[in-house]
Amino acid sequence: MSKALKLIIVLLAVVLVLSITAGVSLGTVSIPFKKVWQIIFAQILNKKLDVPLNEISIVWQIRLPRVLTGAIVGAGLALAGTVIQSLVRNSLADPYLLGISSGACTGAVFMILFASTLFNMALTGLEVYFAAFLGAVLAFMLVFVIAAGGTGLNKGLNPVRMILSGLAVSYIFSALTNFMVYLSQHNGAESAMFWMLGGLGGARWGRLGVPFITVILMLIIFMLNARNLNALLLGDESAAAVGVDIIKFRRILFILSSVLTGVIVAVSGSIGFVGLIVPHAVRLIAGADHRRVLPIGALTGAIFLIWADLFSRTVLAPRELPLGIITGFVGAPFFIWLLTRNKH
Amino acid sequence: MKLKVDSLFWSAGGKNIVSDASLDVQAGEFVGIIGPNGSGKSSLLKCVYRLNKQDKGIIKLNENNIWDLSAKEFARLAAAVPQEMPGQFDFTVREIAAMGRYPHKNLMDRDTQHDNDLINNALNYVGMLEKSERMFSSLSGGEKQRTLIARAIAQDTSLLILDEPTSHLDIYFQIQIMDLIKSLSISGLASLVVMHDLNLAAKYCDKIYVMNKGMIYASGKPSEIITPELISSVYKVSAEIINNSGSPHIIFIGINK
Repeated sequence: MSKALKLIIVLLAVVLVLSITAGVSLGTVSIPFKKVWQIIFAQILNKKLDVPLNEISIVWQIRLPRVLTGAIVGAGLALAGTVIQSLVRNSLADPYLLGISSGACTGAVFMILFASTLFNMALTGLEVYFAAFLGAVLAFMLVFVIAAGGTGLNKGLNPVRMILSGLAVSYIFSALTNFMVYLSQHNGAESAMFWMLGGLGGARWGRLGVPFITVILMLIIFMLNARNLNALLLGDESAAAVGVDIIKFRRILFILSSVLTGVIVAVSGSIGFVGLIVPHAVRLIAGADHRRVLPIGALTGAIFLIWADLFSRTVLAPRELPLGIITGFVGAPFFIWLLTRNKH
Repeated sequence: MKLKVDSLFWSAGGKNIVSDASLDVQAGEFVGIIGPNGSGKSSLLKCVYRLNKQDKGIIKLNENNIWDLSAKEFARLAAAVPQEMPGQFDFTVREIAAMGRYPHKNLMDRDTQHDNDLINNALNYVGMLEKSERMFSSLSGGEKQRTLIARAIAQDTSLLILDEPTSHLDIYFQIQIMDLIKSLSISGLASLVVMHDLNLAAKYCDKIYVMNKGMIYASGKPSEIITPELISSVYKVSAEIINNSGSPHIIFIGINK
């Protein structure tokens, strides 16, 4: 790791900690930075603290898990976007390209709108996440089979076929989701919208573990394969020329990025744009080498999503805007600015 | 080093592209493959550098079947410069050349001084050392090709496989690239090169394989096989051959009547 890269990572880590602090501190009730950390340390060390109980619960029960979830989701989306762009060798790809999020949406919406009446059970929330993940897995399997199908399984996944199968499967699942929302008529539309636009309102301590471990694990695996990811960006012929087993590597990448996307979508719905712009922006600034793009992207994604979420819950408070709207509003103009800046 | 391709068949979409092709390349040899468009030159080459797996036949590198080697093991023995040009993702010249070291690296390995030396030497050899921090996309065609050759040199192999390394280049760069490959083969590397320009092939190659309709139509020293008859029957063009200080030089007259 070069000195410059180390410096950037340390800097971004500092910004991340500051962003987490700000994310917990700011909101309808503001709590000073110092108090935030007093409360966090007191909770971790199990100490008594002379602070009103409602402030403790705002910091520890509501905001901190939400902000941390935002950081994890942001990092995960940036990682998934980076890898999928390399997988299909297209800088306009995003984590939802392969149909995973549409599948997750369908699963979640089905559970919310119909499962409770069908199976006669009360929803605790957890089975919705599970249904979302199952939907993601189903979509993934469909895309994989269609993408690999025509050419015979031993000839590998072709990028264009992957994109097109992803699109086709996305359309099928979106149609299913919309159909269910249409059928349900009563109050279903709103909870369905949460999944389609994404948000961190469902964040709880207990739902943090799986995404956290997944994101860290994927970061490590992707970093170890950074050279292969670089080679894949040059094209199949060049990648093969420098010793990448492209058929096998593509399959592994496809599976890993789908699992990552599935886990993220299950906790946050499909928050758009982060997985597209963060890797893209990082590449424009730091170059294409994955040894830089992956860690810088993960940290940038985490920071970006924390601020987007803070914005989403404060701008129209007490109402909460779906995160996908914010990331679109903020992300798209930023992206356009980056593009025009980079022209000359 | 010895590459031996033995009665190779490869098909795509139910159509035979390469039929019963055999060839061999020894250390220090500059071997060219020529033939008209669609004759299967590039497809054969892609089988040789292990991108496409043949349907029938065998390719042996130093007595090993190349498909018994892993992709990585193979890339430590043979370096390829494909026709494809890296596109929308931008690496620096140095980063591209450094990819030649990838097959020598395991997951946890870092880049060592030895890698750096090899990369610098390779860039220096092709005259791209001063431009090593430039973006690949900002280079001219000749510079791009030299960068890709630097990657192959940094790969530190005994066989070099090149697919039309001089296509889209001005004559100056064509000769520059051919001189470069020739100097590598004089230093002991074996090279297998698909070529378009018959005169360049005649001037530089020690041995030429002529492909036509997926088959090896003829092979031998340029002076032996480049004849008006061969050019007429393979390329459908009439030509005269003159002697250019030992190597044949072709003057094209027109399309066969």
